[in-house]
Amino acid sequence: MSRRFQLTRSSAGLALLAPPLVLFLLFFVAPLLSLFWASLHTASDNELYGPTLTTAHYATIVTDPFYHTIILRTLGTGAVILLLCLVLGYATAYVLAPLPPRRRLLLLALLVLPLMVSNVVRAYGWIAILGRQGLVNSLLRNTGVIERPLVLLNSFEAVSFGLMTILLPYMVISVTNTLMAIDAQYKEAAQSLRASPVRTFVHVTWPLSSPGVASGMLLVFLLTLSAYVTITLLGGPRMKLLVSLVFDQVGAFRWPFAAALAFVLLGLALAAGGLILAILRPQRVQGKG
Amino acid sequence: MSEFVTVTPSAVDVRFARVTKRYGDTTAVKNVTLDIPRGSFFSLLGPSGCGKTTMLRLIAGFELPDEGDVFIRQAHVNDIPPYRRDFAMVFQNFALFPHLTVADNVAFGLRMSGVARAERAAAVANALALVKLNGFADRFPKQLSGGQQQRVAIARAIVMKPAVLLLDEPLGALDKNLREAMQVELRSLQRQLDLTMVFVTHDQEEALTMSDAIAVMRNGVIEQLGAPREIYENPATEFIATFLGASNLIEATVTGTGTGTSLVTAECGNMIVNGQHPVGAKLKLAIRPERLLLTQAGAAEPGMIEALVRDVVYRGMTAQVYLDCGGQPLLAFVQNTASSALDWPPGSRVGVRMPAESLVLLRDKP
Repeated sequence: MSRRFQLTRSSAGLALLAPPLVLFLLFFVAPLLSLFWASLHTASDNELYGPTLTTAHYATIVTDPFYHTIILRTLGTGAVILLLCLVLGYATAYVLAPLPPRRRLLLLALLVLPLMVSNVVRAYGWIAILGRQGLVNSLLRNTGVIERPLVLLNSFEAVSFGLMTILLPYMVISVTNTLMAIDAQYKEAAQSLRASPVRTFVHVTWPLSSPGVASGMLLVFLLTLSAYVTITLLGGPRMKLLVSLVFDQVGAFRWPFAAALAFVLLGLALAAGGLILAILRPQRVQGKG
Repeated sequence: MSEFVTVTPSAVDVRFARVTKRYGDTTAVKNVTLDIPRGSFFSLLGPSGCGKTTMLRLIAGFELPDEGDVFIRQAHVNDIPPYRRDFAMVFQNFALFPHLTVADNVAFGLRMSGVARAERAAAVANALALVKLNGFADRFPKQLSGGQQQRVAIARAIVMKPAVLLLDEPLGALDKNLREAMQVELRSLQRQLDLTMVFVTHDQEEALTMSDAIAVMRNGVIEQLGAPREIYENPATEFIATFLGASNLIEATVTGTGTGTSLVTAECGNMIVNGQHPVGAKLKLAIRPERLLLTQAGAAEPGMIEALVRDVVYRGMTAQVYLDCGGQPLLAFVQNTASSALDWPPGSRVGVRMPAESLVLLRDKP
């Protein structure tokens, strides 16, 4: 009886899983494998890749200092945005989580509202604010603080700031949900055991919120790695990240090299994700070590 | 600073002095004054919303009084945050930290108090042994049964050697058999460690079996305070007479007085109560169902009335006999000895004796 029930359950599960699984294999795994195959070949003028197997593309990325600079800059930008989003996002979530539901919902809606504006539009908005003739420069010049316009665009700061404003809501929502799910009794239990509010946060609230922090950090970091519009418009030709190089190589029809760069990007994403999970250990909240 | 009752260095672990706590328009605790003696198992009993949990939270400092003062031992704690108060607590759903092992949960309070690692380990091992959980130190709470989690929660609290241990309906989440076993264990632990325990419960049976003293609360006030036996046998009000066990409530008028006794008349007949009351006074009386003595009908004697048997419910050890006595319903519990209550089938008439010492005069006015 129960065996039979389990059988129907697992086959029902399989039936539900089958369509997305097929799509995933067909349109993600298969192209990924073929892309990897392409990255191991020489370039060709009229084909996706040439006839000769080679690891030269990966060798170039590993040995050429130019790519080291770009990879480090990509990781650095990601880390700065991650840190900013973590600190600002956690603080915001910490304020939002205990609010009465209606007010919390209202504030979250306000927070999400900017996400409804296209990244392109928002990047131009930042250009209007930070450009040579932009809001900041004209304000500072009219008040006599500066004589020549500051160069605010096409910089590490502009890209980090622009991306941070886009990605912050993901962190806030993710952490707010996890904080709301923490039973108030845990905090009281900690206080009944002589933990001050600060130590209650460090030893109880923070570890218990690690699932939300981890998912927020993964989202922010992965979206940073794949962001393109904001980086191009606010970073210009001087602030190129790995994703810009992929685009440039594709533009030059060097598909195999673009593919190799894409796999380096994927490797960085996996490594960063693994690192985030290893440090935060969100699974410990489930009481599994 | 407000004037407060002088605390004598007597054996009082918790003192409430005219404490009031309001939430918006509702008053959860109304002007309560209470001393909880050292080393006692003290229960706060009442229905939900009576203020018993608020009392516990006032001791812990999770709530602050609007008026009045709270003391733990000799310390006036109104302005002291929870983490500096000398108490420990067992929470309703245990509130074990899911990300910490059993040992780390139990060690948590010691760690926060700055106890050295080696000393901590010894105290944790000792506390786990007390609750019979040796060998579970490295498990996580999720890997334990409800009863085992309960024991960890108790170990985590007693390892702190607090002035007072607060228990917020800690047995409510356990099934019946486990609950009864834990009642016995908790009580023996309390005696063994000579701990002051303040136990919040809505389960009257639990309060009766475990407590040295019970404060029965209702609408934010303590309606009666006393030993379990005193409260059960001499309930002060109709609420207590019916909340703790079952009671027959009888309204009667005094029709005559004797020496130290009065003759009263109720719907169901005449009966004798202890105490001299003025003729014509209206009284509200309670009598426990097990104190009604059923005999053959017809034998006329003072303090005995006749009733019609409506229904008999067989309960194994006892039988519940539902009676009708001149329109007044009465309930009697009868032991199933050889001459059982089943001798009185529904529809038959039965003599009911109500001994004067079993008739309790309630404070409520009819």
